[in-house]
Amino acid sequence: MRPLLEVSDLVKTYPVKRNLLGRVRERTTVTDRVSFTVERGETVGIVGESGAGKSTVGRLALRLIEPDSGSIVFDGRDVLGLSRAELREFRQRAQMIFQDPFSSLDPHMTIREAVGEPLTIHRGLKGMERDAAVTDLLARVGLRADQLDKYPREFSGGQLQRIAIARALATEPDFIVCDEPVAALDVSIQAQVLNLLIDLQRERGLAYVFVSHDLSLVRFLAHRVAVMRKGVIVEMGPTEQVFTDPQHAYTKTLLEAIPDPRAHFLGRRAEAGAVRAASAMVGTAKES
Amino acid sequence: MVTLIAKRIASAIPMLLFVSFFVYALVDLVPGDAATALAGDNASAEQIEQTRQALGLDQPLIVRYLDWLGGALTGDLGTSLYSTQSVVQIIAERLPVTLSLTLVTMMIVVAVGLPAGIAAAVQPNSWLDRGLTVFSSVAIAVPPFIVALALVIPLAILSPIFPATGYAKLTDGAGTWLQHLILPAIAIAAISAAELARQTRASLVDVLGRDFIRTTRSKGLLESTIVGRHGLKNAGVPIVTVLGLQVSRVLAGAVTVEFVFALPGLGTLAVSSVFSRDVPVILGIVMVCTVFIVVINVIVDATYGYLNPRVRV
Repeated sequence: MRPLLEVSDLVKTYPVKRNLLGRVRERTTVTDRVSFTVERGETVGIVGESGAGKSTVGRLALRLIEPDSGSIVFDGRDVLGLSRAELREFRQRAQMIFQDPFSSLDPHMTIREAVGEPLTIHRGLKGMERDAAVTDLLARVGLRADQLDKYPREFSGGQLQRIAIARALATEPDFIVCDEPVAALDVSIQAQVLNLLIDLQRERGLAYVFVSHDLSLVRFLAHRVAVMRKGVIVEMGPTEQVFTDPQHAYTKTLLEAIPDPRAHFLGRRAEAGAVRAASAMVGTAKES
Repeated sequence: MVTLIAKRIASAIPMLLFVSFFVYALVDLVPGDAATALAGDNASAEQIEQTRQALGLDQPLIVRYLDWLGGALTGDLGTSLYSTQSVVQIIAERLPVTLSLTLVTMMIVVAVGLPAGIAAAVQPNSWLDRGLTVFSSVAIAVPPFIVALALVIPLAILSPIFPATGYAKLTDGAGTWLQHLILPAIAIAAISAAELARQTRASLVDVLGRDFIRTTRSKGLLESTIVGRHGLKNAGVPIVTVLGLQVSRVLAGAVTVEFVFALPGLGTLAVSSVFSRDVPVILGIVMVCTVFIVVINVIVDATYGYLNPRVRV
């Protein structure tokens, strides 16, 4: 069977300098011939440093931005060649969860409207029927129905990210690009959101592209991982293989940079012990 | 929302008192007075003094002001110094002309400024956007009476499509009414439409660059829905603010432009009253305009409540 998503040779550049007439004089390449596939029910992690082009790849895959060249095939159809109506159908099946849940929601819309809007466009739901569907979705992500008429600013970060997930699920997608979905959240809430994503994948067979700079998260979630540097995928393979036996020098550097919490903690304890011992000595000296 | 509007109206009362006293005092400061003007060029000092006493102008400023204020509170704005007509009557005759002019002008401002701003914001840095920037800079720089003259010469004199002067009542037919108002309205609207277009462009470009707009794209919304429902509503507060401010600018523009087109409105009345120092009429006009602008501001504030849920609480 063909993969759900096949991305080949995606190139995206942005103008950096223009002349007086507004013609572009210089461009910078954000992604350079990026290719990968995503199977149904699979999570593909994309890791790399800031500015490596990870988020751009996520947005290109959903055609939220247009690539300069390359191809995107979703479920056997060429995404770049879709008509307007076909593109809306594609948007229904492929969704995105953004890094900052607060800024990704319209501040003037209540949660009922924000989650309900895709239900109206894609599933034609209105009124009571729509409200019932919104309540169901919110319940799925652990929010109560009496919170429907609140505005985004009345929620915490974790609640908002769950609302954003409910919004993404509203269209019943097969594929979701998660762009650093927990980077803006507290560690305790990160776990809740990640577990929710895993549960949803099991229940609905969702496929994810999980963009993150947090390698341990990607190791925990992804089946396969792509390592990006300066707009290029330098290495891609099954997660465990990449983490235990990295081939590319950059992957090795990246993995070495993961702080080992145990070592860090022990180090701090040793330091604290030394400080305590030293101050005790100073104390005794003073007394004598 | 009702409390909000009530508060705004209450806060307008001290403002109206201040404006009326300020204008009263300002007219008083100008050298010479109505008595000199009224008594004529050949009048003796004695005759002028008599006229002054007859008009009550020999009283101290504060006494005259309080006297006027007492009348104003009961809806009596006094009598013109030059005719037997009451100020209320004079203004009532002229007001429909200025209100019609303001209405047509504001319609042009919205009909031109808003779509132009939206079109530029949807395609920032396009030729359309740049063209609008150049065009609006020119429109903002040229005063309304120059635009008026530039319109009259080709469109009313060289080829008389529109009347060069005068006013027709709405009861004479909407077509004739509009025909008399269209040139002066365009002359006044140019600056305001340009400012509205610029403000719309600026706020909409800002909003369309925000993250939640990207979310609406990923939802699969139509571009028109994204711009209309999510973009404009979020960009609305500064746009409505500028629009509200344009009403006072349009009234100010009416003063000169009504003169150019010989429209018998409040603008021409204001100019002639200033020349003749007809203080009651000047005060009447200022008060009517102030009340009008206060009402517009209350409407603007009420709109904020609709556009921004945070204002409602």
